Amino acid sequence: MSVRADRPAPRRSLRSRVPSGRLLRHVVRTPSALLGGTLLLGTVTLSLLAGVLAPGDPLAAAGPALLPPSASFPFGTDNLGRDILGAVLHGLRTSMTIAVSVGAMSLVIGLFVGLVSGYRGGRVDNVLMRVTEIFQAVPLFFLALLVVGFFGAGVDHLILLLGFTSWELLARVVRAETLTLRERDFVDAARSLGASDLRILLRHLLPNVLPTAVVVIALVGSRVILIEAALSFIGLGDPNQVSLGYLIFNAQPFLQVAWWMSVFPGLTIVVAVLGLNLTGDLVNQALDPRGPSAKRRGSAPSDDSLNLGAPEVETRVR
Amino acid sequence: MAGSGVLGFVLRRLLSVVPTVSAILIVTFAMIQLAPGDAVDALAGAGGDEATNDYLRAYLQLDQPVWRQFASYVVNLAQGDLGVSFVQGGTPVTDLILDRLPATLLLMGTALVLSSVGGVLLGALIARWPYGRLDASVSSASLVSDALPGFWLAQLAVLAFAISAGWFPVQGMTDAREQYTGLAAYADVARHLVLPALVLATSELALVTRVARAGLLAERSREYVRSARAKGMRERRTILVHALPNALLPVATVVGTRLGFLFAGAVVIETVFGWPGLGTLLLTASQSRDRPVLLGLVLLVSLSVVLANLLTDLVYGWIDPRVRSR
Amino acid sequence: MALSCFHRRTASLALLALAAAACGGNDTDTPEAGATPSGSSSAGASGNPVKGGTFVIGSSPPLPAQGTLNPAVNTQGGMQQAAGMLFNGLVEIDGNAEPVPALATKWDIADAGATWVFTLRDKVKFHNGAALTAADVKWTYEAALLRNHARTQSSIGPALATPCAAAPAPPSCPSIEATEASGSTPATVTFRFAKPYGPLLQQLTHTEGAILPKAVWDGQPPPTAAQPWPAGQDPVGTGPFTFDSQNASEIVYKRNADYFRSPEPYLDRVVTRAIEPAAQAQALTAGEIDWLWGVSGQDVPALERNPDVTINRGTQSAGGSTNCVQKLAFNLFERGTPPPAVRGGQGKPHPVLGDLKVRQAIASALKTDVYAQQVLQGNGELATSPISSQIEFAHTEAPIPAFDQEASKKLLDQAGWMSAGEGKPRTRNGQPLSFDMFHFAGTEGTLATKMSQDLALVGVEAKLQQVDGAGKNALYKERQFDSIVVSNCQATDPEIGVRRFYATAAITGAPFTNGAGYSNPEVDRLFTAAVQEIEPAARGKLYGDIQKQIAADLPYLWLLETTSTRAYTKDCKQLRPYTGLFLEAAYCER
Repeated sequence: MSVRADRPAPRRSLRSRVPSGRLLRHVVRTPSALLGGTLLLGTVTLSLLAGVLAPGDPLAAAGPALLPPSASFPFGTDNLGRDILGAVLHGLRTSMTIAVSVGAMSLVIGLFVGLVSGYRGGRVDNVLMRVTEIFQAVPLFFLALLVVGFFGAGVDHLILLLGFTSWELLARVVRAETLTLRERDFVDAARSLGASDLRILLRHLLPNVLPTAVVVIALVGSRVILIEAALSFIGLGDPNQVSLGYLIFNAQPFLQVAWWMSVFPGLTIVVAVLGLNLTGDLVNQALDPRGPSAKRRGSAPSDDSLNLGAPEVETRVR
Repeated sequence: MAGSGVLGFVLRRLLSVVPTVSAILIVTFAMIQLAPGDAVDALAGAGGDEATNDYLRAYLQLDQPVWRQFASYVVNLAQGDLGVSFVQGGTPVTDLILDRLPATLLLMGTALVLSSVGGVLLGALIARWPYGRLDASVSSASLVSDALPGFWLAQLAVLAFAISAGWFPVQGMTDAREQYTGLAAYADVARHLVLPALVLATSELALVTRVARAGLLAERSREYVRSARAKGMRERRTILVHALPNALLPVATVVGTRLGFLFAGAVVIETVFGWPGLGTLLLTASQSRDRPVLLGLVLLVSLSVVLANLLTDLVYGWIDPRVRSR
Repeated sequence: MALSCFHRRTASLALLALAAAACGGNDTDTPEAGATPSGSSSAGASGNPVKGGTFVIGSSPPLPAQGTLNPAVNTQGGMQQAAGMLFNGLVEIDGNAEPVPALATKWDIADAGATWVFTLRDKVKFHNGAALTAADVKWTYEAALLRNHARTQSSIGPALATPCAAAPAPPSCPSIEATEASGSTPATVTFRFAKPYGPLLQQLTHTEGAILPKAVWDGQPPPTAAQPWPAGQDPVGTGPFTFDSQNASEIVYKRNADYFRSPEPYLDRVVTRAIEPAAQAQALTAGEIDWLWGVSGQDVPALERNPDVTINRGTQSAGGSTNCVQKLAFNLFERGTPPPAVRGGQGKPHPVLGDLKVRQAIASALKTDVYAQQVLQGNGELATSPISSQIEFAHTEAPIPAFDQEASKKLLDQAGWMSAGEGKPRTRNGQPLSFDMFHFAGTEGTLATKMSQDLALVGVEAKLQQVDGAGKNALYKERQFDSIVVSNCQATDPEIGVRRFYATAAITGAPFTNGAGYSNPEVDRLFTAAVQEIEPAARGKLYGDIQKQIAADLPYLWLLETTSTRAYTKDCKQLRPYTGLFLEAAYCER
């Protein structure tokens, strides 16, 4: 069975313009999107304001040890009398810093490798994929565990390490997507119109893989927060810098006597990761032409809709 | 597109494993060399003297030039010899790994099966009525479960289901007090397996569900599915016959990646539940700079990920012939 | 015989107890001696022991590695607990820290304490069926203990009349003589020292002097830490339990039916399970295990309310070491100065910590009164001297300068470190008052965190650096640290665990030695003199002088004495946590 696309992808679909109107409409209409946006916005704001909301050294004692949550210490205090609310805010900042830095690094590397590899194919693809495979074959956590265990726990170490090693999933997904895309009519069309490779990559392919990339990067960001937490959990956190993982690590022995020591940092991780995941989803859905907003209009996307998702394509089915 | 094409593809890919694994081995070896302290430092007890340590270094051949140490490792490896542990009383690395592998495989395998089957089923279920109430609730639940740190979930699970409810054991793979045989032994292990496997499967389940759902949705709206639907094919049949095989592609793609995550998850979950798998071996080997054991583990994990990727690509090619044709 | 009984009259109180045992020639007193550990009446015997059953011990990971269960050559953590199952020394230490017979039934002292003759117990069998001989004892010392056992090697070794041959030469110790049994005369082993040697009896236990079966190594190189047993050989000792199996998370022991104190042991099986500290109390509450070596302070109240659980306290650490003191070691010399240079007095002083005033200022900045509660959660108390208060004969009060922030600031001013403003480290000639503080994870990490917080308040920046065991040992070896938190387990005699932190000869770079680089000829002299005294009171006086001198020089800060809270199933009886052989006579009524 072979179904032929009725036309090359509409021009506007090939630009990487931010679909602000559509995104906003989607956010307002979808509860989960609204929640995701709020969570992400909230965690980012709180982590930016950590220094203002909880001034001073979050590692310094603020009151008696192991106080349950109260008016003066809403999240309670830990075994050394430190204010957990302040520590959580500073920890959130550390975790978000790690997630954003690693996300940015992976986005750049992953997009580059994936696009070039998928588009050029042949030897370039082969070499890049072998390199990717190496990074994929060493589980990130394993590598991080050795590096942090051997060379000391530092947030900066962790960012560099994870940033340079977390792009493999993105690269593979982008490559897979590019592989399919470059087969499609609209790329052929662009090529036959004399577009340069760079132009095809940037104008035609990049916008089409970006939605997927954003989803994957959100995933990478959330994974990174979890990896930091897991490393801290097995005792490989940075003792000079409060992170959410460090707080949970500290809380472990007190799980049964001071639930607040573990529950608040744990929930904060859930919220931060959820915000990232939901936002990834939200972007994905908003950019999906067959998403709810399109559906609500009760018709297939027409030429004038901001069609930034996968263009109409020719697909062969066995 | 004949069988020989597939065979050539497999052979090519198998050969390409060699440089991949070599690169990983070299990097790991270099890292262990650069790490502060060596195995003798880990062996040195309180107040040991320099002469004893020198003797031990010579005994473990750590006094040789690094290139020679690496060369002899490679030569032995080529003969299938992973060497003996530096700090585990000279126990062969193969024995140490094989002793612990079954426990880890059992945990990871159970979690992999649970999450794959469960995820695809859930994904297919909610993809039938996308953006509906069911989709919303399952998708949100999967998002939340994906956001849970595994070890945190594990601790909460122990508190809730082992301590408070008393349904499952707190730790271990077996009841230390009993020496079960036969069926009772399997039942004993199964009872201990429930919590760790479920916890490990939880975050993976979320990923598979999301990927399966997204894949199905993407396929569903394609022209061929629409036309199948237009021809009067029933929705369920449309999904199963046409959309699912194509949608499995992204699901299959993530299996290789998930193997790495699963191993990482297993290391942490094993420490929470005292599961006698490779996790503890990895942690102690890294703390004691037990190079042969670390290299053996790196080999094992990277080889299995590489092979899983190869398998993924084969499945990929089977489902989507365009990939193989290039 | 006559000699030892003569000696008894002049001996001190502690020696009196052991000489009585020696002269009595009757060893049935041992179980009773061990059965009454102070403060654990519930552990005492009541009624008839029940035979059989499995006893499960919860232990913090990692367990001793596979193939390494040889306490004569491997002194890593966790080994001591395993040693108590599988091995015996010539002498054991009872619940009152007194020496009692084990593989030796009695000992005789000659040459005013320079010659010690141990009479071996008859008809002791190793787990492989071989009989214990005097040759086994001599070989164990010359081939294993005096070569590889970090503590025994560095204390007994140098004190012998003639030094032993070092590896890789064939094992030989002319100063240890073996005489096998003949007819009705039992076998003996004689130790000859250059000078009278007082602490010997404390150093012959299953942890310091486990006896190995020589024949297992016939045709093999002697054991080392890297190869504690010949390939494929299971551990073989004389202890109450035999080795059964080991996997990633447990070691299984079986009853030794041929134990020399038959009908002991009563238990059929003992399993040591590795359980993360955070889950240990939960596992005990769930009834999955019977014994915990260490319960975190915060879990104690809940366990105390549990009717199935008994709690008691001791100074043995969870690893089996005794009388541990958590210290902060200052590197008195420039970072990276090699140990031989420091030992030879050629190093330059540390730019910050080489100054006594700064060290005193650091001490008085520490608000130590909350440390025992916050750092150890009540499992310990403030240390008041370099020597643990549990080594009563040697301990003299010599605390670090008391908490006084103003005094601390004044000292720093006097040392030239001037305030650079609120929240900033002080400076001197543009250099910030900042140094690294290395530490392990766990309570030592919490202690370091606490100190770093207190120091920040007087303008001293202590940067925390977490390391693991191998990393710490490497730092020690190269002296690449400014300060480091160490846990110093002192056992029952300052000669075992104190001297190696303060003597000039102990600036070797080896772990748990003189990391400060402290060298004081007077202290060296006093340590040597203290070993050559036999009388504990006389030894104690010398150690008192040592402690006062060290407190004046302050090369370390002795901060916390750690204790362990044990918790166990109430059904189980006759547990002897304060001796190594704690399950020798144990049984469970269930």
